[in-house]
Amino acid sequence: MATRPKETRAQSRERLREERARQAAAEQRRATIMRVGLVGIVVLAVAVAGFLVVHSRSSQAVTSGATPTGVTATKGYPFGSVSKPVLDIWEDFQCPNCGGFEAANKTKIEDLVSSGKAQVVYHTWNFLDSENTNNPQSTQQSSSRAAMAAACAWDQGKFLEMHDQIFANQPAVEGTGWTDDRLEQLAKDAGVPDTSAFDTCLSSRTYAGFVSQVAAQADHQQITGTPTFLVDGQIVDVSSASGWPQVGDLVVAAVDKAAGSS
Amino acid sequence: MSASAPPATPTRGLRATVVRGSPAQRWVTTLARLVLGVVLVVAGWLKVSSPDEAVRAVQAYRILPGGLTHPVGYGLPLLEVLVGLLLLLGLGTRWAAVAAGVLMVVFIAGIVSVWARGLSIDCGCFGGGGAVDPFCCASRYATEIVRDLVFLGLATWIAALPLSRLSVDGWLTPAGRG
Repeated sequence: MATRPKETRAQSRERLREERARQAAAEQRRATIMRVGLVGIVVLAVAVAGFLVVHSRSSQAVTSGATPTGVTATKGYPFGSVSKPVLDIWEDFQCPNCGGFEAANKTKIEDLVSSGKAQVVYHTWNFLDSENTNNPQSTQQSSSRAAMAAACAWDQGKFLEMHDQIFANQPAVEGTGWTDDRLEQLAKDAGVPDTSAFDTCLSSRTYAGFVSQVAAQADHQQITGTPTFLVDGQIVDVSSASGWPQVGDLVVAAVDKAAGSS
Repeated sequence: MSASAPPATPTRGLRATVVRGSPAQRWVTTLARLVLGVVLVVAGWLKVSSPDEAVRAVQAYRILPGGLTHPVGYGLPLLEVLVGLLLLLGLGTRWAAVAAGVLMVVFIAGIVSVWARGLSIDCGCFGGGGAVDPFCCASRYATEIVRDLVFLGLATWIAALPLSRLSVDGWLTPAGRG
């Protein structure tokens, strides 16, 4: 190299080109390293921020506390004299579709109970609490408070009546919710005998833990919306229905089928 | 490399057409990046900020076993935010676009699967999700698939022609500049 002979013009041009190519390659490498580093920083930032947000916003509700007598979060509120077949109905009191189902099919479901055709089990889920997040404080978490109100009414033998009152008095606009005062009024209308005991039960949030347990059970069973119907543990497919009355018919048909086969 | 003197410019000219693309292409890629990036960041963020809802949305597809719905419900939206941010920044553009394309293929497959099984769900694409009333929205799946196909098209364009204006990649490499 040291004794390199005099270059021709072509050789020198070639050398220059190679030098340029080397420089370009080096710059390319630096750029790649920078790029990988920057991507790493963005990945890390998103991961940390994401973890913090998810951690703070996912439900960490307290799940201990009193349970209404004869009810468990797993088994719900049971009605009827028979043990099989079991019709599980998952509802959120704020869910307009549940209101629609109830308005159209209340009698059909009552008949299942009174005729002894099935055990009907209600589950009061609170997943629509998020609908009231930006409301005045008095109506926040309306799904949970309505579910607690239903539990308080159960204590006085008026669950179904309270259940019907709440659905019949859903606010015109979803997410408006109810105040405690409104729920107390509905309990009165539902015929809850000891209204002061009911008011205490609701205002002291006696069944807050129970309501959270029901939500955890919904998650566990992968219930993804309301209303959801299960007959003997199998979700009833109501996708072929074209209106709430047909949904009720499909549910009753599923019960009949299960009753026939057992 | 031949020792004979090459003409002065053709090699560079070729690079300019093949690698650099036309200025118009660069602006189109920039626009595609920004649109897809904003869509992914917004869609991801809406889900990240409601994690319980996101988990229910995943469960509603009834594809994954129970143990996976929480990790996916929490993680998939974060992945969307990440890919969206990289596209907005124009950082690792080609690979971010490939990732965005893969996400779209997964989303489309999910919706097709739900549709084929006759489930009535909210896709949870932009937050929300879970079961919906059974007779509201038969035609919605088609719209969602078409929408995701458009996003897949954008992702493919970016992956094929990743050089663009206003990108970190461009600032990092002289070849990508300008």
